[in-house]
Formats: sequence, C-alpha cells, structure tokens
Amino acid sequence: MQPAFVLHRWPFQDSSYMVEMFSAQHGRYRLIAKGARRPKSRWRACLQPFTPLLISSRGRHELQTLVEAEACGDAYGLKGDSLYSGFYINELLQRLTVLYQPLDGLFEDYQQTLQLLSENSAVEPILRRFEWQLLEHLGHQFDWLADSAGDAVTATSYYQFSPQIGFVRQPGPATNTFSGQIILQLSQFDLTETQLLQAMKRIMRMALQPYLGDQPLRSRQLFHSLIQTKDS
Amino acid sequence: MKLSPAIQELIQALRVLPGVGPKSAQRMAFQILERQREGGVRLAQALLYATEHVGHCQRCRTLTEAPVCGICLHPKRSDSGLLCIVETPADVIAIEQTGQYHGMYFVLMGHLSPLDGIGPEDIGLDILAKRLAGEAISEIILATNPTVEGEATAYYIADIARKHGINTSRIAHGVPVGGELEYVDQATLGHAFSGRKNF
Repeated sequence: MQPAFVLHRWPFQDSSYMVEMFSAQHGRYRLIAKGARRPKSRWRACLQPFTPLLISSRGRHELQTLVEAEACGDAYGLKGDSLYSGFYINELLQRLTVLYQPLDGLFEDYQQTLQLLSENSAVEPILRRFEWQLLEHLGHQFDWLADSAGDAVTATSYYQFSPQIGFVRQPGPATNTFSGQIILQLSQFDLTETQLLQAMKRIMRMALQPYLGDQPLRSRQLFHSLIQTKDS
Repeated sequence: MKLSPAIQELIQALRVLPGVGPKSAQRMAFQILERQREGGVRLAQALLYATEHVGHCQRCRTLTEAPVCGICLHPKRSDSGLLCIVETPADVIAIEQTGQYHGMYFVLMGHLSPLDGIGPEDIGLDILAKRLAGEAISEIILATNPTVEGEATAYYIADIARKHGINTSRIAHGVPVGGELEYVDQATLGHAFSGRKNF
C-alpha cells in the first residue's frame, strides 16, 4: 500500500470511477476504481480529494485498477476559501505535472500545503508558497538575487519580470516593474505586507503562464466569480 | 445469426439506459417484440412525449412538463419560507419520502466542479440569487451531497445567502439508522461526533 491523494475523479461506466491519483511513488497517475459508485461501496467515503489514503493498485498498463484503498488519518477539513484553494492546487498539479513522473519531495510539499490550508484562513501566502515549490520541483525556478545579466539585485534598482528568464534590470520605475527592495524581501519569502503579497502574486502568475498554456485555470475563474458574489 | 436492421437499431437504442449492456438490451428487445407489443407502443409514446415536453420548472429547475412544478405551486409550501437546495430531482423525491420537510426546493442539476469547468451559472446560481432577492425566504437548507464538490457548492451558496441576510443551515451527516459504529467509515463517524446533539 502506498500513500496517495485523489486529485480528481470522473464517473466511469455505470458504477465505477476513473480516479486521478497523486502519490510519492508514481507522481500523478490514473486508475479505475471498479464499483466505487455502487451504493454499498466501501470506497465511496474515502475516494475523495484532500483525504490521505493508502492504496494499492494492479495492472501493467497506464491505466491501473484499484485493488484496495483506505483512509489513513483524517481528511483535511477544508472549508470555504481553503476548499477552493485546494481545488486550485489540484488543478495546478493536473496542468503542470506529467503523468507517471514522480518528483522528489513534491508529495510532501503538497501534503504540507493541505495541512496549512486546513489551519489558516489567509490562503494567499500558502498558495504562493506552493506555486514556488512547484516551479522548483519542475526545474523552472529563477534567481531572486541576481538579474538576467548575472548582476546582484540591488535595492535601489528597478526590474521587470520576464517568464523563463527572470528579473531584467530597467533604467527606472514603470508600471510593470518591481523595485529591487521588494524582490529582495520576496527572496526571503517575506509576505507580511499587502504590497509584497500582490507583487508575489503578479510574479507567480507570470512565471506559471508559459507552462499553463492558453487555457485559463478553471478554479481561478471560480475564485473570481466568488469574489464578485461577495462584493456586489 | 445477423439480426434485421430494425431489431439491431432497437437493441442499440435500448443501450442508452443505465446498466443496460448488449445482452440485456437484446432480452428487452425480444420481450417487447415477442410478448409486449402493446407495452412497447406505450413505452415509445411515453418516451416521445416525455422527451419532447418535460423541461425545467421556472422556479426550482426540477424536471416537469408544466412551466412551474406542483411543489412550487403549493401555497403552503411557498408560505413556509424554507428553501432546500439539492443537486438532482432524485434528491427531491428522496427528501419528499421522508415526510419531514414541507418547504420549497431548488434543484441545481449538478454541483460546482472547478476542475471540470462547471461554474456557478451552469448550476443555475444566477437564478437562485434572483429568487433570494425577490422572495421572502427565511432559511436555506443546504442538502448538497457530502462530497468535496457538494461542500464547495454549499459554501458558495452560503456566501450568496449571507449577502441577502438569509439564515443558512446544512443537513447533518451521521451514522445510518440500524448501523453499527464499527462498520461506519471514519469520516462519517468523525462528522457524527463533531455534530453531536444534546440528549
């Protein structure tokens, strides 16, 4: 049995689910949970996102069959914004990781992120942290302390962020530049002020964009409509 | 043996039903053609009528051939000020059978599922928001399924209700009647404990 999380599931045939799993051993992969939609199935309660599972599956092909699954420990009782954030990090994993490609340490980071989401109502710093961790695991990280020319970032200069390249030094401040001061604070993961949080959000969004492609993130759209509902 | 095109087509058509594979479809087709011709005609007419005429209730979105369904038209129910939110018309039937609830319903015909791209408009939350603004509703009972998607939907609706100043409650999850604690899964048992009542 190996530890795993459900990322998403779809109804499959009359009484089964196709489940997208995430585990330390296999990374993201898919399997069929036969009979899991039957009223008496013992998997109904546990085959849900955000529940730590122990599972075993069999099959030599890409699409495996679930043999056994049980919950190990409590589900992270995500509520409200934390729950929507959970969907967001699941979608990020779905969109950015490759099937059957385990990445060292990503599983632990994911688990820790769920833990943090279940304990905190301020979700933004947690999400930014996970986005950066994911970029690192995928090998898409960039340098916070040096600019694209290799010179050290200085507090008094201004920089533009360019995805896949990093920070590019600019002659002066403009609408899309970040001050060196902010970049240096962010390099320490200092997200204590709104201004820093907003800068981090902008940088992460730009950094993720080339790997996400043209399709918008669906959980992000849900977040948007939620904010509109609360504000209007 | 190769079946004639008409029979073949009938068998294929029957397979749209849930749980009906090629073998059962064949049995059904022969049953209709050999012994139940009248019943078959009735089935065909009922199918045609229902698929052409049944639509959604303008108020609660459940399935009905009338513009507004029987439950929504019931004067006592609309005066109750209670609105129960469920995912499917089958859930309405299940709740009606308990005989415990005498208010109105709103049927989402699904749930929010961010990863499948099913958003608030797809489950009629814009219609719900209009109802909440226009009607005298005193309490919303969230009876979406206890799945993560059902919970997400419940939180979303609770936010809309809060904006309109409407009291919201969520149905309890717990141990089934006649069940034994030993065999109840830990998530359900956990909910049963956190939602315990004074006794």
